[in-house]
Amino acid sequence: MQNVGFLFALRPALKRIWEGDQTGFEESCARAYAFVNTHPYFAPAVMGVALHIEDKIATGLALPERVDEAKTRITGPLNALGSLWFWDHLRLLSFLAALPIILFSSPAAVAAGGCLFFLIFNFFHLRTRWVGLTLGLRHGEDMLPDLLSLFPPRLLQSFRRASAFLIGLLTPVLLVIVSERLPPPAPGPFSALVSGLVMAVTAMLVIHRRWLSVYQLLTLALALAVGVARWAL
Amino acid sequence: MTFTETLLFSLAAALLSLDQMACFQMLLSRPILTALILGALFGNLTDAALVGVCLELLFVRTISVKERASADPTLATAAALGGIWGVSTALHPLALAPFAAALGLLASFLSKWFDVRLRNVNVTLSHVLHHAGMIQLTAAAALLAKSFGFYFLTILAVQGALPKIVAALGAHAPAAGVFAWLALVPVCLGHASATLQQTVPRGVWLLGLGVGLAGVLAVRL
Repeated sequence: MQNVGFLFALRPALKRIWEGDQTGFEESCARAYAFVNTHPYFAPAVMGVALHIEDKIATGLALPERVDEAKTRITGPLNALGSLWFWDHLRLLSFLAALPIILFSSPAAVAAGGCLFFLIFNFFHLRTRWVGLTLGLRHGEDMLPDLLSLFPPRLLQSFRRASAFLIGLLTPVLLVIVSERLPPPAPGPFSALVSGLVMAVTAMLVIHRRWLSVYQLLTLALALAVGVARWAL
Repeated sequence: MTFTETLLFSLAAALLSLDQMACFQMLLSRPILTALILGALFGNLTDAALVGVCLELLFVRTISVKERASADPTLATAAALGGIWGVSTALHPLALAPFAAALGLLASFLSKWFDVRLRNVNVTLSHVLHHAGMIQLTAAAALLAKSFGFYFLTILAVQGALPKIVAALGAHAPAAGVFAWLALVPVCLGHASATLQQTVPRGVWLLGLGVGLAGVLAVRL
């Protein structure tokens, strides 16, 4: 899993901790090479914890087994937390927040929207990496409450509501913008409109492999309305 | 797009795709950012934005994690954009985009199957290279070469297939292109909304829809 990269990242620090003690250094490398797998954004936090314990081992304050125990204890929860926060919620919300700007027709606005998405997400991403590493180095395993306080569960529900609101808001906007930016079709717009919607229903059924939800039916009805208003009237 | 430009285009896309797992993971490999970066370098930003937005909505829950291979969103975007900018037909590039996007999606699902097999080959290969003492040199290069080769071939295939699709549609091609967009957008939006559905109260979505509709009508009427 991530153990090769983990060892690669820790090697310089371990070398400094075990300066002048070759066997100690080799044993610590073997400990760093043991199984570890977590969310990539929390990997620095795990690295910090491992280094904190290695430091204690070098001064005789902890047993070598503590590194593996600590890793097993914190990697699982951090993995779940990272997937939930970053990949399920923050990515979608930062995209939807930048989307109204991306939909403008001027290239400068589009570029600004792209940058906004990149910056919002990566601000939280890089902050998590930095805070995780420093907290782990300073407090070892005891940093978990401090790290978790950055991710209050109450916020997640608001994130979900905001995403749902934005995606509802942008559905008519995107449909109208696309219909306005396209060239007008050749003769026979109504039959083309119907065949387009048949294609859409087929694609939705293929993707979801079950009957359409209310969301999809409403979106389709709206697309039909936009198409009729633009070309068939 | 000339042959050299297609080569450079694939190289840029392959470099961006490394962001999926190999380094950074700053979402540069997501369709919207890939589309905007490729658009700024090789085409135009506004067309790229529409294609990128649609694909981002389609790939709303797809991300490569751990050992699980998933359909490659970067490949779908690169193939769609390489397709529309790479061929010259009588059609508006945007009208061509839904067909290119469909081909790109097909390629990205094929790449999932391909990726699983390739990982097995990689394991065997890395043992051989390890014995030859070349492991450090090859790890990064092999990763880039793999995605670059696959991206380049896919983009060439899409560029070959698109004129044939347009020719097959004949006189209906312009209308079909326009209405394929009206099919693509609801599919993407409906997919993203339906994916959210598991956790979100329907009322919030409907409220947003109402506000958006009112806003559009107020601006346009």
